[in-house]
Amino acid sequence: MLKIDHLTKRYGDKEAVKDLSLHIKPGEIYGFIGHNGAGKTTTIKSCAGILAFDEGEIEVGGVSIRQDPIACKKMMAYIPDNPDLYDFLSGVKYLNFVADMYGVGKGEREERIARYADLLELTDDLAQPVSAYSHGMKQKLAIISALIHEPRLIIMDEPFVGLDPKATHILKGVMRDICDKGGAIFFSTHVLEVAEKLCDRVAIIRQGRLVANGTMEEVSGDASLEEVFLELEGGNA
Amino acid sequence: MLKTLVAIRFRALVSALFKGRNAKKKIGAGKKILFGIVGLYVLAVYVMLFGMLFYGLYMPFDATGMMALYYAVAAFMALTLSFAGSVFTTQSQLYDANDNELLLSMPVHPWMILVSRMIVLYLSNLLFTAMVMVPAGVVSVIYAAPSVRGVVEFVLGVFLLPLGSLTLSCVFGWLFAWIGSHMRRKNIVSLVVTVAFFAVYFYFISRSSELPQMIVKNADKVGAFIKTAGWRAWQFGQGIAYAGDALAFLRFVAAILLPFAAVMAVLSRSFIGIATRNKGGVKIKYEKREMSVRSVKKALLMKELTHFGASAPWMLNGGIGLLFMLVGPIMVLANAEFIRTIFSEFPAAAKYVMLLLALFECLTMSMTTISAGAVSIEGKSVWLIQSMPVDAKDVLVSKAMLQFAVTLPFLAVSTVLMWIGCSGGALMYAVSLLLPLSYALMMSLLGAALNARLPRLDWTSEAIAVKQGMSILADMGAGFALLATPIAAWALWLNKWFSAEAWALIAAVLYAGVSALLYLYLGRGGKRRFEML
Repeated sequence: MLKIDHLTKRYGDKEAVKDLSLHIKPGEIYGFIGHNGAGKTTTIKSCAGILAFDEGEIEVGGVSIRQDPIACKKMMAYIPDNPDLYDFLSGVKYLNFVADMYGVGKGEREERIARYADLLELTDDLAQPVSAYSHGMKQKLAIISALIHEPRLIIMDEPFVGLDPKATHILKGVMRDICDKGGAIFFSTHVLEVAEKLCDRVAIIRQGRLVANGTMEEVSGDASLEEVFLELEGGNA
Repeated sequence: MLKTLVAIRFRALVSALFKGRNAKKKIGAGKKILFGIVGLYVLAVYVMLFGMLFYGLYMPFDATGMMALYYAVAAFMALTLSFAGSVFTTQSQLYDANDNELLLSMPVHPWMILVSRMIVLYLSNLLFTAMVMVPAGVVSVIYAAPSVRGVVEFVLGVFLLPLGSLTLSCVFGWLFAWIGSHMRRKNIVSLVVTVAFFAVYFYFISRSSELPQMIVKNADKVGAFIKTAGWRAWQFGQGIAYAGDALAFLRFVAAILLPFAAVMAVLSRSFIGIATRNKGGVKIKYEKREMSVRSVKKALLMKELTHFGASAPWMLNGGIGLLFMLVGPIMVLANAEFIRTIFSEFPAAAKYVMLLLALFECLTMSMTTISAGAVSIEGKSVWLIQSMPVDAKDVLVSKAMLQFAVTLPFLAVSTVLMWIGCSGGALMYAVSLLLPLSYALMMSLLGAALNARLPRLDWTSEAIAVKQGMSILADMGAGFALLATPIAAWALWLNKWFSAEAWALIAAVLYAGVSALLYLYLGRGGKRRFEML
């Protein structure tokens, strides 16, 4: 579903991501772990088609993001770590705008907005302007907007930050549900327990380079993901 | 502690003034000097303006024994200018400051936070007051040597008057914040007040040469008005003039200090409540409605229109030129009789009036910079549209079409008024529509193209995105050059070969051609630039 092939991204002289390759298959929840500044967000933004990269290739559903970004974006959804949404729109107008952008039909958008807003307990606040939303509410709105066109791939940067425990639990369920239906999810997180319990595969990035990836068993074996991560990071906790 | 808090407030003010593109970057000496020169120039212009006004007032007032009114007018103007110049700063610094909660969480007395903000606000009020009172004082010293008591009271008055305007700003700032928190369209209050302020300002500027005579001629009415509406200013005048009424001056001091003390007492008691109140506005309950489905292009344009309508700084800074567009035709209609007399004497000039008004419309559009800030105003949310399956060209074109769509109603009203007020041949009617229309299209596309090249996304306030930045300056400069060049070419050279109508038609075609080139640019270079943001 998502194929990252020898991705390299430089900011001036600094190589933020170097020769990174990953393959996320349909049905997989793929966790992306690394310390602050390791290159996770750069990789994620490159995959989402909002950051140009220097070398390598990224394919979504077999389509190159360089050659046909619009076709790739139609297949996926992206949720950033800090969702700066359109403050001047109300929640429902924002969702309707997103639905227009993805060409979602009237019936489908009404049904999906109602379903996910109810699920995430945001229905009562949909008429409020986004500027009045808390961080968690914005995160919920960003999640609903990502689900509105039923994407085959969802790319998320720290999706659980700001969510209350109930919303976190619901999101985990939604993620699993999407993958069970053949979709794929690629997300970054610092919460290793979540990655351990939720992900089918994980990748660990350090200073822009991939240092480990595979199933949870392949990466951590009998040890916990935290122990493996700290060992790879050279930590001494 | 108080010193640190005041220093932080000043640093925040300097940062808001100078930084924006890169908050981490140090301000260069050249930039500081440039801003210093511009600041001094603006200050000098205002001081000169008020100096001329008081120069015109002094002699007639002195001759008629009405010096009390002279000082009362000065104090009233100082109070009004300080109030108008500081009411929104007071609102944002006192009631809507986003660091109130942060400071309250620290081991700092709430009164210190309040006082630190009041000191900065007082100084800004003092600056506005001095712009009026210093010229008034200097003019009176030029004409007559003042007494020591007169000087002391005048200087004391200059330092006390800002407390008067600050008291008003605190009350009205609270009122605006309260109204804002009970309205769905929060910006409407600041928009209405700012437009009213602009109207008064332009009235004052346009009538600055006649103002002294007008005040002198209507001295009784002005005096009665100030006595009622600006009682403190009236008492100030009574206290300062000639030997001075000491009791009146004391009344002035009391009228300034007592309300200020009362406001401070209320504020210090309720500051925590004010600082931590819910600013979310009216809670709107969601009711399920049928959703409208739009095409991508229509949805993008609607999004731009909604954003524009919700942003008072954008409407004011980007669209103020459009208000002026209506001025020309209204002036023609209002002075129709006078114009007809002129035309009867100079019939050859009559046919050019419509064209001149059409060019005036273009001039006002060169000051309209809505699309030149439309990319910048995306700010941190630019990722949103970049992550969607939308052609960046469509995004940029929607930003250009926003300006065109907002311009069209003004252009239509202005053109109809112009057609009612003027007369000309069929071709003149046609070019008086086509020329501004093609210019409007070109300016809309030019703004979007320039902003795609020169965006400013890391702003801290929307006003920075739509007011400052190279794209705004370049848009106005290029717009003016694109208007002035054909006019100069016709006036100096082309009039030998082309009639005014033919020239206007050629200019309209040229503007349409430039529009086509800009449209092509948006689909290529502009699109690439936007994708790289």
